Amino acid sequence: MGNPVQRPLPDIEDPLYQAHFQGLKDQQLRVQQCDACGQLQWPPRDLCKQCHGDRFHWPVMPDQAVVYTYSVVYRAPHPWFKEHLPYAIVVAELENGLRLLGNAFGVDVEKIQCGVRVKAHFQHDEDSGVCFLRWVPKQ
Amino acid sequence: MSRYQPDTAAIAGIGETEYTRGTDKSGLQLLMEASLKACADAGIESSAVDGLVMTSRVGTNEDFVAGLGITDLKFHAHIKIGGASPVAGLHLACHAVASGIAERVLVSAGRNAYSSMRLGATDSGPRVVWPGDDIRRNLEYPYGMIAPMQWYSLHANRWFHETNASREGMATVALNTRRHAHLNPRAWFRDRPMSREDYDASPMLVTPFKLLDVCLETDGAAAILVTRADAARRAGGKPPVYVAATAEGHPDSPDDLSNRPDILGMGIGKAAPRALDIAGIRLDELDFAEIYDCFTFIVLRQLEEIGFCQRGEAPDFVANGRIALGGELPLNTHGGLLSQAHISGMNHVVEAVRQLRGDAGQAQVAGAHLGLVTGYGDFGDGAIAILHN
Repeated sequence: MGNPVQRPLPDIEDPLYQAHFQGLKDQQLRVQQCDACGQLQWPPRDLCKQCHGDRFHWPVMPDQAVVYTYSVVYRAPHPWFKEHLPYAIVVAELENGLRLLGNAFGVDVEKIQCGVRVKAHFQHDEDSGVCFLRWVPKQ
Repeated sequence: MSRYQPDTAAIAGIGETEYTRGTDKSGLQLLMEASLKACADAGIESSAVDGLVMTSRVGTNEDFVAGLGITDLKFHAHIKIGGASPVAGLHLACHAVASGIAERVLVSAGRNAYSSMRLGATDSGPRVVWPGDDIRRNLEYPYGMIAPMQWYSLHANRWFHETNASREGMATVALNTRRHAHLNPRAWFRDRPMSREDYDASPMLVTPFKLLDVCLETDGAAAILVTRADAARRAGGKPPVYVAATAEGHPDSPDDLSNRPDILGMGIGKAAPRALDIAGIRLDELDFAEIYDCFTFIVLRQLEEIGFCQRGEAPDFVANGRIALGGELPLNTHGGLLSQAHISGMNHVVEAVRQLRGDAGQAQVAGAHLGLVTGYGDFGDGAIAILHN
């Protein structure tokens, strides 16, 4: 039975986000890096926070991270998420200090704590053509 | 340029609508009702208002000119930092009257949130647009991070992790605030008791927030009329409440919590030292505090960032009756957003004025002379005011 409510979707054609979402489809974590000064930044911005440059490239980051903080949700803020309750949202910190937010659907939410090591998984959704970032605790 | 001199400005009038859940009035009608009451309370004709600071999503300067019959508007501004807007609005109004660009500045807040707009209602009805809308739509909403309590939980869970703060603090704030609401005939939960068992049994919504850690959604509006203090004294109405100092502050990466270098950092931590310095007071001189309380937890965090105690210590600071009426620092004597109404914190300003006029009824703090009000909005913006009689 199909869910009549659509998941909130990102704009994967947005110029500032396109490389990141294409990266997820390719099973890669890509973030924004300033052409001029090499500053890495996330979330992506129109200007480099270091040198105010406006040209960027999108290097691949390692897929290992540590839970910096998290949210465990017991009441859905939007109807699409009801069937996934309870679910965790994880803000995971890469070794270089950048933090990326993803889901942890289908994971025992009790296992999510600050400091837990996680690995990026890439969850492709056929209907929308969007690939989502999922953080899974390492065994 | 000279900085604000303490007591240059005063709050000369306050006005509130009834706070309800369910109304047939529009948001604008509620705003006008509160505004007219604030003018009447100050003893001025609404047509003589010459400055407007609007802190709500509804209402333009033209709406206010029409609704209040303003004849010569000299200044207006909109402030959009969520729940920090009313106190930041007071901040701006004080500087407007101090500089002389206007003499009678109305600051208003209000909404029919319960009847027309539920927060997080992204599938139907008008959508709240937050700062960093692209970040929200592309990196958070798709992952189910949609409602304010979820953003706050990122901050809260990291706070518990870094400081090992006691979990008791949130319950203390919830219960204390409800007890104060029972003393206030204008509080929505004036007749609804809350026991510790009720708190413990309330459902977990988003870790660590139970239902009873979360504020009300209500319909209503509140407004204040700010003038120069000397003008307020000459007007001979109610005794003016003097504004010793105000300040506004913003956290690093104000539109993004995830990559804020220190996620526990908040605007109030930058604003509070500025205000204390201008006012020339110490925190231990305060007789009461009205602290923005959209969640129990954010009260604790503001107390820490203002400097009442170190990070992680607020649960101990609020224990043993310190924040109860009769304690060392009575807190949210009106019932706050948690148990009175969600008027974006303008009800906190109004309550501080009542306390300093000696008009707070059963919730009156004996000998109240010096009070603190804070606002907190969006992803950590802060505003603070120090008032006295």
